[in-house]
Amino acid sequence: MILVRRRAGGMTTGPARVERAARGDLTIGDRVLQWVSGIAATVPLAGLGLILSIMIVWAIPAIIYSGTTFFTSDKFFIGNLYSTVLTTHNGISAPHGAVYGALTFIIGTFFTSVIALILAVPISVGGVLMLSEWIPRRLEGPLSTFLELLAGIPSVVFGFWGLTVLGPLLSQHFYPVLSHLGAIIPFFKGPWAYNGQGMLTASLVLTLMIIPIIASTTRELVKRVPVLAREGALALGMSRYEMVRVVTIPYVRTGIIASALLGWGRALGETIAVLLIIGVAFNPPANIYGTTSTLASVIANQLDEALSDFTGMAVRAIAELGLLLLIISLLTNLAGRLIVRRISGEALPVGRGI
Amino acid sequence: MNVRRHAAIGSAVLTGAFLVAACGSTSTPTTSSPASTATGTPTAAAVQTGNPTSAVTLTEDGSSLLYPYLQKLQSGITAAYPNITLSAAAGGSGKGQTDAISGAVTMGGSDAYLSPGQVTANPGLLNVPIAVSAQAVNYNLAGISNLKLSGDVIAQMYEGTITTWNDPKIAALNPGVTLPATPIVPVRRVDSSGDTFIFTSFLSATNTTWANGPAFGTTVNWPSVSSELTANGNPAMVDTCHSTPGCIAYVGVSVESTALVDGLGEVELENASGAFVQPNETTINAAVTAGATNVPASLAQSLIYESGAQAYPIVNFEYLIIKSTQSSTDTALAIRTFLEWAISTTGGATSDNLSAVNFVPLPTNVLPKVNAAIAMITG
Amino acid sequence: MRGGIFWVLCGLALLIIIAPAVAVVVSVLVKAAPALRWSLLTNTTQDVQNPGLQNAILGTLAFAIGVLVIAGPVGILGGVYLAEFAPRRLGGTLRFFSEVLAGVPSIVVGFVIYVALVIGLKWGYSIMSGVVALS
Repeated sequence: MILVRRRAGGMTTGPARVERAARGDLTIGDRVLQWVSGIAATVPLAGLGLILSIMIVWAIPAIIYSGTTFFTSDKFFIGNLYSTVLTTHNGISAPHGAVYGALTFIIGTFFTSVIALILAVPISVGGVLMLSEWIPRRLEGPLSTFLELLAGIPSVVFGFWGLTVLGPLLSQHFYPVLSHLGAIIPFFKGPWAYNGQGMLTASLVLTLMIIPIIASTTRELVKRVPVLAREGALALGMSRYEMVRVVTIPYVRTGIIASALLGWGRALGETIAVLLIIGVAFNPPANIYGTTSTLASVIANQLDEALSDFTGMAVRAIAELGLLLLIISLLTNLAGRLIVRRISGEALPVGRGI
Repeated sequence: MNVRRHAAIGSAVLTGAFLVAACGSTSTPTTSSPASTATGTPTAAAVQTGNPTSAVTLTEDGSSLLYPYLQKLQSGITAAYPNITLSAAAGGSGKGQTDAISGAVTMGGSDAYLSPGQVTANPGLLNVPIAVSAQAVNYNLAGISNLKLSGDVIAQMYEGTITTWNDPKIAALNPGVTLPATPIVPVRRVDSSGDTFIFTSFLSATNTTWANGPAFGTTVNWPSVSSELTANGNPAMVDTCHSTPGCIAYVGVSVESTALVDGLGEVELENASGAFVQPNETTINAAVTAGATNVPASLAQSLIYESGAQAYPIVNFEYLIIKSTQSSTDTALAIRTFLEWAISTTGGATSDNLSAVNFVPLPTNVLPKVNAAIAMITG
Repeated sequence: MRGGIFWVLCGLALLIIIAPAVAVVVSVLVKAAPALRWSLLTNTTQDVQNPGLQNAILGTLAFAIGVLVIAGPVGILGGVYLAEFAPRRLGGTLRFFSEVLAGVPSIVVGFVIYVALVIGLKWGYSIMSGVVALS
């Protein structure tokens, strides 16, 4: 690392050309590098701004057309494309009978991601604690690496596996057992699809997909718990369980919340795996096993059809859905990273499929 | 995404004055001059075709019902005209339409003709039929073959009003057959599908609740049925039905052989004359003969639920959606050559190629209009 | 006693983490095994008799290289700026936003690129559009 302090009296180290700049000047080469790399550094910000503004501009006609029914209607239909009659709201025309209500997808997105989160956090934390406390050192390394690799399994592979292996397995062996809960909570009573397609299966696959993120982040945090505090607790006669409860968990608690938010962000945006498993229906599910759609899966599914809408409104409606998804994802991501900065002052690793 | 709202009238564009090859001709034409206006009845010989001077790849995507047929044509077209290569894909008819409109592919395969709105928004697009295909309805019930069903009953299955196979309405159509109490699992296409278009056209023609409700289209507002499954593409329809006892699915005839090999039953559908028929060369031909007597110049013609004792009720033209103005004369020549070759019974539409996918050739009385459309492709 | 139950549950959790991942990898391998032949690499998906994955594999490689060529230098140069030249505040903000960009759902990026480049600028379905999106 070359440190160039531009305030007076700065100490510099490094090769000769920097020493020439000991008075604080930069060479021409340095200045070029500064400008070029400066532009490169603003690319993410510019990209983000571009995406956000394109989505907003695209969605405006649909926002005007739907108004508040976007949030209150659970009916999403791009209209009868073979009819010559048009429906008009607030001055904007769309195909006959077109309704762009997002409620179904908001419910679907919310349910699948929350169920995934509720299941993934305890499993990840429990598994990581097991890893750090009981697993012998020799196995711990490979298992940790394995955990990191899990985050890299492409989502389409998860989707394919969920559809062909997990879905039938769940629908034939697990759901019959679970439906006994239906006596108390009607939402858990069947029926369910033969191949397991539906909201619960999709949520379970999402759980498996966000576990690696939460687990590997928690792992980093657990490693940073001061050894002295942990060993001190054990020396005082606490059992490992009590030590974990009293020392480790309080240390990592905020970090877990932050990583949960990041995992939730991934669950919200997960498209392909959900699309393959959730069954693509445009109404809220009748029970927990029912087919429905999420914001991300409906965009991927409907885009081709939307493009054949000659009024162009269907694409705008999809843009409105995408804008909603974008805003929700950005907010959860922002919240997660802000919390992390507050506690540790460092950023969480980026790019673990996050 | 620019939607150009011209005031053009769809069919007038196709029957009115059209461009006489102002772009000129480059390579060796096998014929004399381009066909003239609506006064003549263009024959195949009047359309300018030939091997282009440079290699041209015709890209196509869209209908998964048409796709197996195009795969059969791939080797033949390059054998006949070495500079023409066909690259085909399947992604659903709706995708074929939009990709052809946006220019992402040269030809869009679609079981559905363009909607009136699309024609108005995109003048200069042609529906060119190259074959006649049909759609079967398959079911998965062990031990029961040749089940008879009517469109009305099937519509009620997809509406969710008939839920088990031993429903009295089904039994009434199948006297003497013991039907199990298995729940019905309807399967539908989830991609923008021409098969959905022709299936829902059939349901609309036979059931008034359906006609006033979901109606027809490449995507419709499917009534919510809790046991309903979805599949992406024709092969997936067969797979899903094969692994689900009690299922009913609509499958294009080009993959029907796979369905039958998999052990799925083929429904005998009730046609407009009250007879119960399965799709085969005779029944498909009967339907298209009845339906193709007065095809408009735009070639947008439905062949659904035609009358005739032997007519099969779900029959359709297989279209390639093509822009009439191409980017180069070579591309236009390659397209015209491919199309003329494909519809000719000595070229692509041989009985071998057609019977392998259960299609039938275009009826002869439609050929002049098809040739007129092909002649409009210039570059 | 409570400690015992707790650790049993944790062990179960670890199992739930590891087992499905192994199951995914194994079942994909098992299902794919009958199809593994050399022709996977030499034939394209268009080949009717013996479809292979050549075009898909080459496409993925083209994407990977393209993204590396574009995102690599931009990312590295950006990092250099943040580490070497940026005044504290600005650097922090820029870094923060690049992390936030990583949280944009991929379907939204795909939608924007599709509408803007594939259709808007008429690049058509192209490797370039995909590379821009992935970068």
